[in-house]
Amino acid sequence: MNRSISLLGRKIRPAYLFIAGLLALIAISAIFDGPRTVYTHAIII
Amino acid sequence: MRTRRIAQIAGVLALNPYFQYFSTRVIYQGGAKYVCAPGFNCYSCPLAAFSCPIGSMQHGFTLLSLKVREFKLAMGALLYVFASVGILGVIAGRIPCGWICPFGFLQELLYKIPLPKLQLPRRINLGRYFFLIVLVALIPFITAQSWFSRLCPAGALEGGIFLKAVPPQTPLPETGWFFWLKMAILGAFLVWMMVSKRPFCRAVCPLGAMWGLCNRVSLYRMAVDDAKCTACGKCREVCPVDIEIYKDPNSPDCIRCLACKKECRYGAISSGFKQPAEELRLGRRTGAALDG
Repeated sequence: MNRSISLLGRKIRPAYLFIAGLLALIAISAIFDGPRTVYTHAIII
Repeated sequence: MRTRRIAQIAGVLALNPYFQYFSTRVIYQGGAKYVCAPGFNCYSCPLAAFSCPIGSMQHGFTLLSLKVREFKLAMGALLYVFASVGILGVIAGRIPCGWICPFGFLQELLYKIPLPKLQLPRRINLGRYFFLIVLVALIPFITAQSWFSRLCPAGALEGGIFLKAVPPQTPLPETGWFFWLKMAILGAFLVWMMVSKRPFCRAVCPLGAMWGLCNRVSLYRMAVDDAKCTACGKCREVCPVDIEIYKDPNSPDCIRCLACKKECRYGAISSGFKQPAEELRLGRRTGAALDG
């Protein structure tokens, strides 16, 4: 599961791809006001 | 062990630094609440500076529900929480469980109380996936209410009792039967924590379920050298979650406290962000390989 994979001729660990994907998700979530939604709920509770 | 205890105390203070509450009686509303806490820490605790990832995730599912239908906000919240939890998990796996989480720390302290101890069956570890899917996702989606948070023992302890003891300026709702139900759940868990090793982390914690899955792919790796390991079982004795690390070094159950690594007199256990040599050489260690 954690073996290196080949991408564009270079061997990389899959975790780096996951991190890149998750950072992209955070950027997308900001478009949908994600952090503020979490924050608002935290105040209400 | 001492380093980890210091890290755990630092974790409690870092996640709950808002001592101004005692003078202002206003719950913290600053920018840190945008960030999901790296541990199970209730954000209705008056001292909490960060958001609870599980509470936030449930909120996302309630927004998604047919009763609310705030699709855009729900997507934002869910993507943000999944990605925040995921990034930490992919980097470190369950390291936050073993080194930061205040609720995990409490369980380890309570287990030190000298009482007859109860070993839990391994199957109980599947419980946390049930709670993640059913109580955190499915039921909030159907009922539009955050049921895990409402019943959560960490919430009852850090939020419920604390807010009753030191009330905020804004009046609290009347104490009804539901409050006492929460107290009963908390009481049952506190007793369980005294007799079993970290039962909440193993059987219930949805955050541990998500980070546990990340153990398989995380940058931080554990490895056991077949050539050195004698399967003496010392690692299990000191393990706070009662696992045999030599059977599956990157098991979803391992909280990566590294107590086993320190205890192993043969130096068979290694870990680090660089893929350990043993793992590269042997692949994932299995029980079958050991028994054979």
